Amino acid sequence: MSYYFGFMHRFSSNWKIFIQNPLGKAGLALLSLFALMAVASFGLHLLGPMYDPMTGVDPVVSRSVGPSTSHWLGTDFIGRDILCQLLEGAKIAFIVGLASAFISIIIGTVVGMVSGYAGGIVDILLMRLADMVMVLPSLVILLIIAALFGQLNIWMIVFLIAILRWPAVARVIRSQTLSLKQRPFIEASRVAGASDIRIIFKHIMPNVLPLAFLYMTFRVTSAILVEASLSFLGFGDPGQISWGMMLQWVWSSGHMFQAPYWLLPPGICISLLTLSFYMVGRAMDEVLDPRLRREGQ
Amino acid sequence: MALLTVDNLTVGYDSATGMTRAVDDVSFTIESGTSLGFVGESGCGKTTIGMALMGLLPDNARILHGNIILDDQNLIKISQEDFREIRGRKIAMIFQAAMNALNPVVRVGDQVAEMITTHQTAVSPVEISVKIEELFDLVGIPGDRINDYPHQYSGGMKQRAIIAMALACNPRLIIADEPTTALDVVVQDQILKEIIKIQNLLDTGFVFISHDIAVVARVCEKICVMYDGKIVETGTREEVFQAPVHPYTRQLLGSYLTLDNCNNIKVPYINSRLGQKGWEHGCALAPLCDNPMDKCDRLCPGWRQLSPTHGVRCFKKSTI
Amino acid sequence: MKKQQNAIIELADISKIYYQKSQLFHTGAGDVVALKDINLTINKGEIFGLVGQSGSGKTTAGRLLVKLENPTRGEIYLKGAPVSGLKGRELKEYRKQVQMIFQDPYQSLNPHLSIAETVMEPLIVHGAGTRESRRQKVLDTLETTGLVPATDFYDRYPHRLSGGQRQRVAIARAIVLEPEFIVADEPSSMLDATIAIQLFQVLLNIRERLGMTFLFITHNLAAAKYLCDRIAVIQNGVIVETGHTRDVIDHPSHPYTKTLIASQPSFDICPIL
Repeated sequence: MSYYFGFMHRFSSNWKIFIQNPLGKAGLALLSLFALMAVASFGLHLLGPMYDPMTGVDPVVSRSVGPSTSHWLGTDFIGRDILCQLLEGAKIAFIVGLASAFISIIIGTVVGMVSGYAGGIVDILLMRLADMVMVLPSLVILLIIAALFGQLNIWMIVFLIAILRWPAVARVIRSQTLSLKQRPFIEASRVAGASDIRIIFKHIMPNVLPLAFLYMTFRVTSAILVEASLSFLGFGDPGQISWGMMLQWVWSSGHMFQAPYWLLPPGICISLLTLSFYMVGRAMDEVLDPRLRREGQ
Repeated sequence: MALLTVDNLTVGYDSATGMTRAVDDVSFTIESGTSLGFVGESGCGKTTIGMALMGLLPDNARILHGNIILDDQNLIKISQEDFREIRGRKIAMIFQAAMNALNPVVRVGDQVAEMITTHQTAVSPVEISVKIEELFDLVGIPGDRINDYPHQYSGGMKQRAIIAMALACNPRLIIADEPTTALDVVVQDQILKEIIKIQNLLDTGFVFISHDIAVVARVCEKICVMYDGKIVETGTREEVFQAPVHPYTRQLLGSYLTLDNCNNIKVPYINSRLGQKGWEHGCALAPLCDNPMDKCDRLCPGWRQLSPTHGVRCFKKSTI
Repeated sequence: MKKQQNAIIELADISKIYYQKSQLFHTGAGDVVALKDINLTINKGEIFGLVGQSGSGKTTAGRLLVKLENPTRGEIYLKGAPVSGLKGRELKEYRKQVQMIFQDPYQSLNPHLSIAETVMEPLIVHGAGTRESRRQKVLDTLETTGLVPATDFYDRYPHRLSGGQRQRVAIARAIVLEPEFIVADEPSSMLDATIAIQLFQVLLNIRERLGMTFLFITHNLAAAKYLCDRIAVIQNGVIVETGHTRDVIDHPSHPYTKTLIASQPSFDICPIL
């Protein structure tokens, strides 16, 4: 319980530093905007069946038209509302980004801590495995799997991205663990008789967790980009609408240069959402590494 | 005319809770060829004084008021550019973490040479090598080790090399911040002997900063005892060590273990409070004092001059 | 080995060699001999000083005793029982009896754990007591080390504490299981003199009240003289002189001991002290 209070105390003082940073402020504002969009997507059915992002076709529109009062961002080539698709895409981007980043952080943190703490043969084996996975080009692997097994559903994509993207996290956490392992408080715990499991989860984990969260924001960025590329190439989950998928429709229906109202929003959203996670990550970096912090005012 | 005059120097640090004063209204003077020691426990502001003299205060520190006058020049008022010219040439510093102050991939002799060439442009290579041999001879490094790399030196040799670098441009003032703290007793003894020898040979002013009163007692003619940013007692070595007036000085001396005093050591009060009291409400040392008066908790004691050289910040009149 | 009646710890012919790694043919060229044929007996209730310069191997000896490292040769006995090769439950039992205080109080406390969690850890690990009795034990132990009132410190985090207070927390962690034997590895070298002397009082007090035995590792002969009943002087991994503290310091026989004594700081200008 007292750990919880300590954490809250730490959190509130770190929060102050974070929010003073212009990058963090801007990133967080952008992120909240996208989060609002994602939340709004849950209310789309209230607008009636015409506004369902997947199946809602406007009966009076049979081709892509530009913005109008009934379709603020226009419609796609079969008359579906682009704004609704954009909102739905925000939801999918968050799910893909956060879920796969979260899974890869868990794998990476555990592998990194075990590898760094155990050392020896365990370390060598885990790190060689990490090297092997690290050099795999994620997008190509996903494309091959998609080609072999047919269309992947969204959770499969999330899981595959996570599985392919943990090694960088593991490496960072491992090096952090290596330096922590030498610290006297870890040795003191060993002398007290604590087991390895206890040392890893009670003493090392709280010290590497902030770093893991930092890396999570960068993982989110890369997961969103991988999913978007996959969808754009036509290998996304056909049951879900993502921004990459929207771009794919623009391209495959030949509206690339005819319908900027359709092409630009998903493109801008992908860039801005990844940018906002990146900015949040950079601001967190500053919180975690006091040397980067501007002292004073 | 004193070499260095510091008047009412006050340095503050910006922190989350506002401005904290690390150095509070500190004044002192140093003549050429003499040495002044600052002694106090960690956090008393002694290192901040050294940094202020060098113009190397961290970004979140500010000089709130006061003057630092070296040879008629007020160092508070000059630009960073001009200060760079003064550092090394007029004021040199021997740092606390001297072990890390040498560049591992450059020969020690070359590092000293670089020190000379950055400040004196018109010197020939021959003059430089003569000068380096002189310097190494002065600090007691054998001449055949001039072209070694730092990792080939022992800890004591590195410290000697650092002293040679500080002396390279014949500075008027040398600031030594805990120069022997990282060394063990045997090497510390050798280095202190070297420093005393150099003091006797050169006409340089020394500011010596240490938490170790025995080190300061050996090296310095004048001593300032500091607590929580303020000087609490100052005087010549004999005055401070043989007739200490301030209870805190007496405590520092009384609790210092030497081989001869193990039987009559005075253990100071165990102070388990969190943080220091500060000088705003009475004497900051009142909680540590073995016999405080009523007013000590209310009034900040002023400065009293006991002799032309001996002064103290305490209400008490007599030595007990 | 002749076993003395009241010996707690014995080191018999202990050597520790750090072998140079990654050499195709092991030549022994880069090997470091940290300790060479060390023989020591530490008796119950005494404070035994191990005095030497940095790099003399004194810290290595302490680390061997708490089994953070293992000797290359030789055997350590705890109350007559050999301790090499202890594993699992036996090792845990050994840890309960042999504890350590580390040099740097700024490094030896986990910044993410409160004082209570730090001091309680040994109790939890060894399953000692109930939740309530553990809390009381931690409070009592904090009081013993001079952190008064203990409730003020209980829920604090190390970053709010001074160096001396941190070191007391570290002492509390070491004594909370009431071990037989404690290795104190230069516990005062990072602290100011006034704080160090208070810390020594705490150690003496603990010995008095709990009857613990200490190995006090230091480079400061004066501190050793103040605290220790017997000392051993170590140079380059070899013990050059050992005996009762007063005898060794007043009548040193080895030249290295004489050098150490001559280098000790003193106030030769201050007769009143």
